[in-house]
Amino acid sequence: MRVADTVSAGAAPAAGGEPSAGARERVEDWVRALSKAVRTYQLYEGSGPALDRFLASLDTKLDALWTELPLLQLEVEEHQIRWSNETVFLPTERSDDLPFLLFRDGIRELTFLPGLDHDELLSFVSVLAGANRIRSEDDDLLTLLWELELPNLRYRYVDLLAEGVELPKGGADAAPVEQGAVRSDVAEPPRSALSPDDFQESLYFLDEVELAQLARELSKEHQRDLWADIIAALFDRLEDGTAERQTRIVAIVADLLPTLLGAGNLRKGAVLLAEIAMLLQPDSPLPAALRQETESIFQRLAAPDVIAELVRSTDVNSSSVSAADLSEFLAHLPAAALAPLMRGERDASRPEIRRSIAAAIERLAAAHPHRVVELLHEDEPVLLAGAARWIGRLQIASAAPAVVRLLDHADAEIRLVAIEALQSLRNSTAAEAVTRALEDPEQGVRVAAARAIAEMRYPAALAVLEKTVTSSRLRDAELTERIAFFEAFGSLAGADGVKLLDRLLNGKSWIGRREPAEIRACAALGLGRVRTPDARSALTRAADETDPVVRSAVTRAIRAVTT
Amino acid sequence: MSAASDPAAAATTDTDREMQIASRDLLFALYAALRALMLYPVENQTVQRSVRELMDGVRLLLAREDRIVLRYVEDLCFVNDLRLRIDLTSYATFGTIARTLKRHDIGAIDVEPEPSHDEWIAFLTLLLAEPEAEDPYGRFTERLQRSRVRHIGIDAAAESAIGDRDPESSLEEAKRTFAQSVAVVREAMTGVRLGKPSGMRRVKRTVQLIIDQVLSNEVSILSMTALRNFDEYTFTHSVNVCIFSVALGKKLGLSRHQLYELGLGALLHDVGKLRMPVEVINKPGALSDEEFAMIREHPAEGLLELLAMRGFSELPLRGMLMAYEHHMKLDQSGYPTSVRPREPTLYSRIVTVADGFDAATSKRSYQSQPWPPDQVLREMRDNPNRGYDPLLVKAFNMTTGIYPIGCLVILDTYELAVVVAPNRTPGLLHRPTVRIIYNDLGVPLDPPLLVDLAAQLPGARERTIIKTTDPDRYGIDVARYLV
Repeated sequence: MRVADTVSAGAAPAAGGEPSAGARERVEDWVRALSKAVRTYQLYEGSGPALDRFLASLDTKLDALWTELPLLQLEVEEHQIRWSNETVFLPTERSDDLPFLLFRDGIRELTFLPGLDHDELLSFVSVLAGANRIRSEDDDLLTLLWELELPNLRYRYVDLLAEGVELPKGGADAAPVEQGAVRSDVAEPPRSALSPDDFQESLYFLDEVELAQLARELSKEHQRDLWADIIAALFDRLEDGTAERQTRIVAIVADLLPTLLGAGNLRKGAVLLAEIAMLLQPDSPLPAALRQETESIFQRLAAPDVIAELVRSTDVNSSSVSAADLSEFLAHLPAAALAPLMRGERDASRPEIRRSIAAAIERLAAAHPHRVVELLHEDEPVLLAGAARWIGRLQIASAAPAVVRLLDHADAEIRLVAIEALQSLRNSTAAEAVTRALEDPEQGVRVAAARAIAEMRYPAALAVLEKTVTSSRLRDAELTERIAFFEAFGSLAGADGVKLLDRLLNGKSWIGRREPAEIRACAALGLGRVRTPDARSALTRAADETDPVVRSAVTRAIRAVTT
Repeated sequence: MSAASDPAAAATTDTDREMQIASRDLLFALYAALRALMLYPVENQTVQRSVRELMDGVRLLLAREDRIVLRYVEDLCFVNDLRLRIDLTSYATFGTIARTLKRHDIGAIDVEPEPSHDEWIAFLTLLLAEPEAEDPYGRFTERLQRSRVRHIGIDAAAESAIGDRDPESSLEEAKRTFAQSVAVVREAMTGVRLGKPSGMRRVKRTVQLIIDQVLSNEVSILSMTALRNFDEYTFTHSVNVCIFSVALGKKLGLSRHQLYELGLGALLHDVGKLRMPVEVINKPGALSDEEFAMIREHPAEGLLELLAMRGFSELPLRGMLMAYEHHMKLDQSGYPTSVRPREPTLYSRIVTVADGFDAATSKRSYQSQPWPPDQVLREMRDNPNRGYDPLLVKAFNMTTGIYPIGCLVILDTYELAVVVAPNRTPGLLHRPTVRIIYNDLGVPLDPPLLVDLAAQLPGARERTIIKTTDPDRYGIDVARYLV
């Protein structure tokens, strides 16, 4: 076993004199505080006021030590820490075993030098705190401390790598060389003789221009996109490789995707997917089985949990992931991603992310309308609503019967979306179903149905509307619903509806009473939709109305009729 | 907390940066003054001006520090407690000052406020004077005490060094690091070959050790690369490429962490060969076209191996690219061929130079006769068809010297010698330190005579290299003189 010193930069400490009587206690106190700081760091995951207090205390205690010690050198034994040949730390419990933590990885001595600042101390504590979580095959305290490069901490360690290693030895003893051999060697044409030209300094020393060029190269090197290099290499080799290598590369590519996504590198993920898509073109260099395997990468990406994770990560990493990158990535997803994307659109909180997802859904829905219709067989409201919405937007008329079935769904939101979709479809199946929805138990749905009917101008609905506008139910309904029904009635009835509406607006009962102001206002708005001279005349008669609600509605309706 | 978010830390960083610049300027000024005094008489204006500039630099530092202690510890240079970063723009300056001090066994110069112009002239003149053969430090101290210098002191090299090591222990350290590294590479690569890759911990430690050695003990660790028969070629080659790459990276001014990334990739650059049939890798004779085609696949295999290796999941991307690109030439020829646009990374190009040099100078399968190192360097430098980055080759030449360590050379005295340390001083590149192993009559010298061809004592027999030669011709194992 070898005991090695680290090569560390820093001033050599002055030789120390005898420590004072209280020094031992102060060292003990400091090591104890170090142990506590490590435990606190573990407990509070590296932050928090308690940790700050411990670290501040460590700083203060160390500053006090420097007034009497030139350096602090601690010997590490398996279960104790010693200073100046005396024990200064014994763990009280297993979780407190700072000495063993150090000893286990070979550290036998720690030397803290004056100048050790707060940041160095914090780094040291963080490495010790994380030591128990180190995967033994990848790192140990020695590798991590080396990486930290703490200038004011030195450590001596037992190098386990050195065990059993055979050191290089010199060759055999030299035998005399035949006299004259060297002279004849010199006389021979040289295998390699350097001419005076070979010693020109310009051949070996970089000039200013070359130094500047190297500096630029270094700077460029540390900004370059290494993933682009890796991806290009993989696909170069995929295209000219054997089937065995192609299989390995496809597996690597599939594994790379989560790595890229995990790093928030959606743009590179998109590049990778674009390259894969190119491979699946008809002139693909891949054998059939591998093509299938490659295609399955896209399918795996479309899995619900994968998309959910993607949306979650992009939604959270607003600083590092842009919506544009997300759009670029989503552009490569297959139809199977439709449902997960709809869920993602619902779950995303950032509007720009929702827009990116919606764009991806639109692309997929337009390319695969049958997959949208299939979603109507799902149970999840978000999928039913999403499918209905896209059926409407894409006007997939054949899907009308399936959408109509949604009007029986228990969730009013679904029924509402179904009405919007049916309104867009504009066929008789849709209109008939919307007419039925005029009697939906939910007011919002009824209002939407009334507006849809008005928009669709479905004459068969007229009777239902007429019956409703004169019904006592509507008189008890909220104003929004009343307006919707009256306007729908006006739109559909046209000139035939003027009589009824005029009566409701201007008529009086046999005892000289008018309809309630809100009903009259609704009737005015209904007349506004008729747009005939009779309708205008009826409205004009009410123009001098003193009731402000009625007068306001009449004014609005006259404006509508005029325009 | 990062320096960016912590004003105190940021201030400290700024202070360090300013101190770095001021210290570095001081070193340049000292170098300029020494050089001026070497070339011109004291009265010359150049000398007068350079000493004034040196005094300005000293004054600037003394305004912020009580005193200035310039210290050399092995290859590292410190001003007070600050280690100065040596890069391509400064290594020659730092190196020249180090050698100037070393001739007198001086480890540190201690400057108090504030030496006069005359004191500086006297001190620099003393530094440039020939050292006494016996006790150079003691004699220098005597001269200094007799002089009018009152504000400049010195410390002996041994007293000022941190963990200073004598040449023997330096060599021991280097041997141990080299042997450990080869053992770890053998273990890691065998694991890969058997489909059981081990973790990165040992590989990381190995690279860290190599970097520590290159930073603190460069000549000794570089000399290990000349041990040609230490172990199976693939393993020693990997370690050699790592050592050369890190040394070249150091010359380029890479930080310790950048060297780490470079070293990891360099150590594993040939991992793809483990996918090749052993009988082809170790074939003693020339390769058939089919076998060569197979060998050409090892960079691609290396990339795939590293990407697929879960145990090596921490290997940075640059490391993978080093495995993939180390046989690519600057003009896009070489292998593997690229369809998509590609420019090998700087780190890959470093490994390409290190790999090319070590492979050409080694005895290995399908190359029974290694090339002489100096000829390899010249070929790399002069033949653009080899496809090496010319700037990196230049920088590599500065690392190895014109006559790299391990070269067997014939001196104009007809003595045979082994190069044991390069000379990196401008104008003295062809004068490395050698160990003369045979006298002019062909009689082995025991012990061999260590001679710095650039620092031969006045009146002593002057020696010059007239050619390099093949150790096999004389049955000489140069390793004997290196370890």
